[in-house]
Amino acid sequence: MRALPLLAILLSACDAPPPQPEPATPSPDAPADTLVVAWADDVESLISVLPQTTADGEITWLINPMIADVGFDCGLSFHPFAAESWAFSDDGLTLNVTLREGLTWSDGQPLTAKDVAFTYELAADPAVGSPRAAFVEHMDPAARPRVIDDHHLQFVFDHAYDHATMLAHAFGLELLPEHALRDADRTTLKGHAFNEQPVVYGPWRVADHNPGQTLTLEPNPAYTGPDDWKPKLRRVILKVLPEPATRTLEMKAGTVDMVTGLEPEDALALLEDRPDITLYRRGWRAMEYIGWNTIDSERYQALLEAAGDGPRPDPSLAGPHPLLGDSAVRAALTQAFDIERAMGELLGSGGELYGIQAVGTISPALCQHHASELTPLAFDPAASRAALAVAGWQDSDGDGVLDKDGRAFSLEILVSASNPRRERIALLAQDALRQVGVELRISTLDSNAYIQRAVAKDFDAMVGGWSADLFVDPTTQWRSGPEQVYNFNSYANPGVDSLIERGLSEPDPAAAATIWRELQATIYRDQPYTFLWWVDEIVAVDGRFQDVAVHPSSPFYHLHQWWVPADKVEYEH
Amino acid sequence: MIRYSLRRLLTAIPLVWAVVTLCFLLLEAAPGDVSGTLIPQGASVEMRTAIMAKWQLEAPMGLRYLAALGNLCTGELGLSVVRERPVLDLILEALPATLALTACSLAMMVVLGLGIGSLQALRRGSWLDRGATLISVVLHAVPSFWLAMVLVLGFALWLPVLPASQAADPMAAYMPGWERLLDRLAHLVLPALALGAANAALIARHHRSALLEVMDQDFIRTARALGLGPWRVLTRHALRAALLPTVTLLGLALPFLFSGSVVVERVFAWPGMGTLIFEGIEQQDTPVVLGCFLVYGVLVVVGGLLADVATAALDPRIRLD
Amino acid sequence: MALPPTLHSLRRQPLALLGLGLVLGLGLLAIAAPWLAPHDPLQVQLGPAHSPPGARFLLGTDAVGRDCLSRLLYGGRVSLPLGLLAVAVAAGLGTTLGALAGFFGGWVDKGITWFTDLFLALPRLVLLLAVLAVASQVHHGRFLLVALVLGLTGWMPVARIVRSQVLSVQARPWVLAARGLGLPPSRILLRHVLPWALPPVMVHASLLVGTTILAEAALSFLGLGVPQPTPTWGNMIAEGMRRLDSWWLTVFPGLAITAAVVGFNLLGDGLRDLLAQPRENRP
Repeated sequence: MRALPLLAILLSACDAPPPQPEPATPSPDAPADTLVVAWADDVESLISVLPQTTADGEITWLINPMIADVGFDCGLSFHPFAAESWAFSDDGLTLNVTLREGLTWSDGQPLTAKDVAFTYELAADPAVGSPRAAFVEHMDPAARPRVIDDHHLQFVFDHAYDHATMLAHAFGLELLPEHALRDADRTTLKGHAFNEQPVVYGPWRVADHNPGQTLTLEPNPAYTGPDDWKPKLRRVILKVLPEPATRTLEMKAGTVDMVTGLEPEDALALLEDRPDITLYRRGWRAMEYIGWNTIDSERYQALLEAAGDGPRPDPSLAGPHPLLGDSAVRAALTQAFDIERAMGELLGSGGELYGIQAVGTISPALCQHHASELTPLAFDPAASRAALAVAGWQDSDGDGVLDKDGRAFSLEILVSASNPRRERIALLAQDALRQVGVELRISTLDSNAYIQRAVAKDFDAMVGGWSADLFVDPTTQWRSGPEQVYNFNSYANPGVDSLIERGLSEPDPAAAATIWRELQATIYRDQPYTFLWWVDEIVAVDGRFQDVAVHPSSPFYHLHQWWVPADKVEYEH
Repeated sequence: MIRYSLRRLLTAIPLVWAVVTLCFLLLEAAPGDVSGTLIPQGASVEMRTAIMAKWQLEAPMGLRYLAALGNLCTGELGLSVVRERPVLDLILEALPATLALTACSLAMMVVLGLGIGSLQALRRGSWLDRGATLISVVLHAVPSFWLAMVLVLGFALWLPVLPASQAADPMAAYMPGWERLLDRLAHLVLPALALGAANAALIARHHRSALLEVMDQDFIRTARALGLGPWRVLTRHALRAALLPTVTLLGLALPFLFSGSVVVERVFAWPGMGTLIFEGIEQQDTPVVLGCFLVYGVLVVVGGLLADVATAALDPRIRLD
Repeated sequence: MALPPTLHSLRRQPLALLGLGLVLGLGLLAIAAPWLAPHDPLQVQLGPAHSPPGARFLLGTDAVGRDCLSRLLYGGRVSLPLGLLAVAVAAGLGTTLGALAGFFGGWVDKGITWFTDLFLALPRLVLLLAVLAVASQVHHGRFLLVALVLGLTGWMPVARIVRSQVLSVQARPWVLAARGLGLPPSRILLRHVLPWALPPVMVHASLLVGTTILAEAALSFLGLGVPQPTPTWGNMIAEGMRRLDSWWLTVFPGLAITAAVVGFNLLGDGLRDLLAQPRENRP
C-alpha cells in the first residue's frame, strides 16, 4: 500500500523539462534572472480576439504585441513598433499604415499586412463571437483594414472621431498569424491547439505551460523586431494563485517577486516586512460607486415577464422609482455619506492615499477630459435630512426610519461577493444612512447572480465599480434605451444622449473635451450614482528589478526593459 | 470475489446515473447560468443571442438533460463551455494532482495513525498516551482550511522550510531529476497533512482501542507469558486483527478525502479536481461539473469496493455475498 | 424500557463530563450574549478597524471596526443552533427512513437502502451545489437554508444505524409478542422497537454536530454560508483570512469552533462508551 503514493509521485514528476535555448557564449549582456509574478488566474486563451481571463490579455500582449507600442500620457499615445509609420488622410477618414520590413513569426513565416487584416477579420466575424468586435464598429467593412501590399495597409472609417480613439481601434488588437489559423474552425477557437503552442513574433515566447500552476515566458530566439525590445530578463514566470491571501503571503516570504492589486493596508504591511520591495501606482484604473435605480424595479420586472422572449421593454415605461426617482433625494443620500473619510479609511495607509474622489466615470488619468473643476457634494447630514423632509419624508412612527404615505424608506442594496472592499462600502453606507433615517438592507450575492439582477434591473441600490476606459465612450453607462443593458439604473437624459453622440463624432480634441466636461457636469447634477472614488492600483515588485514601468493598461509595460544588476541576481539558471 | 465485484459495479451504474441527474437538476435550479461568465460586459445584443444559441442555453431543460447525458457517453465527456476543451482532457490534467494528494494523505494517515495508535496502545495510560489523545481530539475538531492556513503560516512563513502553495516549484522544470522529486515531495507535505490530519487522528484512536482489545485477549497473554517481546507480539498477532477497523475507516474516508480536497486545494492553489469542480460550479459550466461527478462517482464506488474486498481479505469471517 | 443513560452515570467518564461542560459552557455564553457582549456586534466604526486585542476591544476588531468578542458571542447564537438544527433534521430524517426500512423490509427496505447509498456516494461537494442552487435568491432565510442543506446531507449514517438496530431488535421476544398480540404496526414500531434504536442515534448525533459546525465553516470559507452582517464563527474566519496579519480574526473563532466540536465529540464518545458497557476494563 505504501508503494502506491510513491509511484504516483514518481509518475507525476516524470514530465520532461522543456527545451532550453542556451546562449552560445554567455556574455555580460546576456539576459539574467527570473521574474516570478503572482497572478490570480491562469491563461486560458492566447487568441487575442477571444480573451477569457485577465492573464490572457497580459500574456498575449507580450508574445504577440499590437503593431504600435501603446503608451499613456494623459491619454493613449502610440509609437512605432511593427507599424513603422502611419498617417491620416486629409479628410481624417483614412489611416495609411506602413509595416516594418523583415519581421517574421517564430515558425519562420514573414509577418505581413495579411496578418493584420486576418486578425481584424476574426474580430468582426460573428461566428467567432469576439468581445472585441466593437473595435471595427466604425470601419468600412471593405477596409478594416484593406491590404495594399505586404507592408502597407489602410483603415477606412465611416466618420471621423477622436484621433487617439481611432488609432486605438486600428492598433488595438494583438496580432494573430494568418497562416496558422486560417483553416481553424471559427466556432471553437478557444480550444484550438494554438493556445498550447502559439506562433509568436514578439520579444517573448511561451516556453512552458503547467495548467493551473505556472506559465513561463522566455525571450523569443526568433525575434526579428527592433533591437531595443530584446528582453534583459532570462525568464518570466506567471504563478497562478487564486487566493489573494496566498499571493500576499508568498510576496512576504519572497517566493514571488511581483504582485498586483494589493489593498493599501496590505501594501503597507508588506513594506514593513520587506523594505526591499518597491511599490508602484498604476494610475486611476477603476472607480467605485453606489448606484441608485431610477426606475420602479418591481414594475420593470412585471414588464420583463410580460415581454417574455421578445425585445426588452423600454425602462422608462416602468415609471420612476418610488423612493429614488427624485434626483434631490439621491443627492440627499450622497450628502449623508462621508465619502472623503471612508476613502481615507478604505484606501489610505501609512500616510499615503490611494484614492481620489470621483465625480464621474471618466478617469482622472485622461487629464484633458476629466472634469477636475467639478466639486463633489459636501458631507452634510443636516442638509440631507432637510432635503429628505422637503421631499416629504418624515419619521411619523418614531422607529428611526423615515416614511411617507405609509411606506418606509427602506432599500435593498446589492453587493458582489467578489470584491472585499465592496462589502465594507455597503456596511459604511448602511451605517451612514441609518443616521438620516434611511434603512439599507445588504444582500451579498455571488458575481453571476449579482450581474444577473443588475442587468434585469431588479434592485434598489447596488455597490458597483467600473474599470476606466483608456479613451472616452460613455455609451455603455449613460446612454438611455432598452438595449443599453449595462446602464443598470436606467439613467435617461436626452441632453446627455445628444452630448454622447456629438462627443463621439468630434475629431477636434479641444472641442471634444468641452463636450465631455459638460456631460460630466450634467450627470453629476442628476446624481444617478453616489460617485465614490477612483482607486489607484498598487503593484509591488521586488526591489532588485530596475527600470520597472507600470501602465494603466498593463503592469508589464515595456517588460523587455526590466533588468537586474549582476550582483543582485537571485535565480541563477 | 470476482462475481461479487462485478455485481457491485453493475449496481453502481444506476447509482452513478442518479448522482449525475441530481447534479444536473441542482445546476438547473441555480439562478443564472454560464452566460454570466461567457458573455462579456458591454457585449452587443447580437453577440448575446449568438452565444446563447451556440450553447443552447435557452433550450428546454429536457433537451439539455438528454444532450448532457449524451455528452457523458462520448469519450470526451463533452466540451467545457467556458474553455471549449474536452472535459476529459481537463479531468486528466487535474486528476493526477488530486490522486497524488489523496494517496499521500492516505499514506500519511496510515503511517501516522497506525504508528501513533500502536505507540499509545503499548504505552497505555502514560503521558504520551494522554497527550496524543488530546492532540487527536483537537485535530479532529479544527476546520480543515484553518488547519491548512495555520500549517502554511507556521511552516512556510515563520519557519520557511516548506513551500506555501502549488504542486511544484515554478522553476522545477529546470532542476535536476532527484531535486525535482524532492521538490514534489516537499510540496505534498503540507496539503497532505492538512487533508489527512483529522483522519489520521481518528485512525489512531480506533487503532489504539482495537489493539488494546486484541492485546487483552488470551492468546496474546499466552504469547507474552511465553516470553515473546512486546513488539513481536504486536506485529505478529495483534496488528493483523486490529487492521480491520483501519481499513474500514480508510474506505469511508475516501469520499471525504476527495471532497475535503476542495477546501485544501483552494488554500494551497493545488491544481486538482477540487479546483476544477469548484470553478465549474462557480461558472455553472454544466459539462465540466457533470463529468467530474461522474468520475467522482466511479472513484467512490471503486474505492468502496476495494475497501470491502480488503476487509474480507483481512477477516476470513466476513463473507462477501 | 431502555432510557437514555442518565447524567450521573456519566460521572465515571471524566472526558465526557469535560465535553458536556464545554458544550453547556458555550451554550450558556451564546444564550447570555446580549448581556455579556461589551459592544454591539453590528456596530460599524471606521476608526478602530483592525485593532489587535486590547483594553477596549478584548479580542480586537475586524475590517470595519466591529468588536470581535461581541461577534464571537453572538456568533455562537448562530453557529450552535445551526449545528443542532441541522443534526435534528438529519437525525429525524435518518431515523424515519432507517426505521421504515428495517421494520417493513422487502421493497421498502431495498428502495430506502438504494436511496441511502446514492446520497452516500455523493461527496460533500453536493452541498455546494445545493446551497448555490438557491443561495443567491434566498437572503433572509439563509440560516435555515444552510441548516436544511447540512441536515439533508448528513442523515445517511443515521439511517444505516437505525436500520441495523431495528433489524436486530425486531427479533427480540417482546416484539414478537407484541406482533402476536395483533398490536398495530405503528404502535409496535414507536413504542417497542424505536426506543432501543435511539441510543446509538444520540451518540452519532452528538458527533454529527461537530462535523456540521465544521461544514458550515467550510461553506463560509467558500463564500456560501450565512451572509453578512450576521456573525457566525465560520464566516468570521473566512473574512479574517483576507488579512492574515490580523491573526485575532481567525484564531478566536477557530478556537471557538474547536472547543464546540471537541465538546460534542467528547460527549459523543462518552455516550458511546457508556452504551458499550457492561464491558469491564475500559481505560
